[in-house]
Amino acid sequence: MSALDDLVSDKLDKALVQRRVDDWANRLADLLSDAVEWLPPGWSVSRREKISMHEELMQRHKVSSTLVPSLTLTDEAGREAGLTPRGLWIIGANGRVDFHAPNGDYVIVDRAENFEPPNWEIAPRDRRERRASFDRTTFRDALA
Amino acid sequence: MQIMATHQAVENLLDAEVQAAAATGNSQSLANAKERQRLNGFAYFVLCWGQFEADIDDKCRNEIRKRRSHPHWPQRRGWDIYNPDEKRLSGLSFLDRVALLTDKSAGNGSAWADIFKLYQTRNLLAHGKLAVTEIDVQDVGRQMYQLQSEL
Repeated sequence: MSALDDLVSDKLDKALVQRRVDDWANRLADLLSDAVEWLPPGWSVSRREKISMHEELMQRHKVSSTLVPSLTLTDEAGREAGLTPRGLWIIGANGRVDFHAPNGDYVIVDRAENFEPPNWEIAPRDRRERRASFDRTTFRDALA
Repeated sequence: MQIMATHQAVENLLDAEVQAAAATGNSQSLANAKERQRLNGFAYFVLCWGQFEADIDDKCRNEIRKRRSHPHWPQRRGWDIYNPDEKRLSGLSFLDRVALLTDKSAGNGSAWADIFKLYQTRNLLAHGKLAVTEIDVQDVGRQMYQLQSEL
């Protein structure tokens, strides 16, 4: 529980919070870059947006709000999918992305510890026990 | 698991509220909707925790009874000082009860370590110091059920 590690740490200060935010933004950028690379034929990026991030720990330590990326995808039939950051400091994950896909909603969470290389997992939002590594196969399965 | 199913049903409704608020472009409406979602998660965590804590209490009492009934005193020694039928369970703290059920020295990823972190979360929440965006109740709740089944 990486968010918990931050909360109970006596080393948590503005600089560390900023490092966590920057790390999250980088992880998100890499995740979305992978998703674009893994798009199946017929799918494309229809919209790239920036979402404001100013979570409570940032506010408490006077870290300025920042913008993090989100993606909207469309296929040739007009179906849409979206990858939207849910938050960084979430008990249960080192950051979470909500993935709205044509065949249902998924959550993508990072199971790695703070500042470790990410370990992304995907699961249907309503069947969280069906966890799997987030990779080209599981991403394309969700878009099928 | 009924708690989890109920949480998911409410979470779905709140998600729809958040999406609707986001679509209006009204940042205050969006912030309010997200705060309702956050508080909902906190409330369900407390509900799950209550059941989890009660189960640990029961399991601890049963373990004490089992150990106290051992025919050989060297095996009973230490366990004899606890009264499993006493309401306060001889003043055993929650973590002491957990320590009677799990290996404290098992390190990261052990049942002890996981329960310790859940307890920290519970305490921060109870004292108004849980400065997180939300609790992923579907994940954390399932973790509690899994731990209960393993104890």
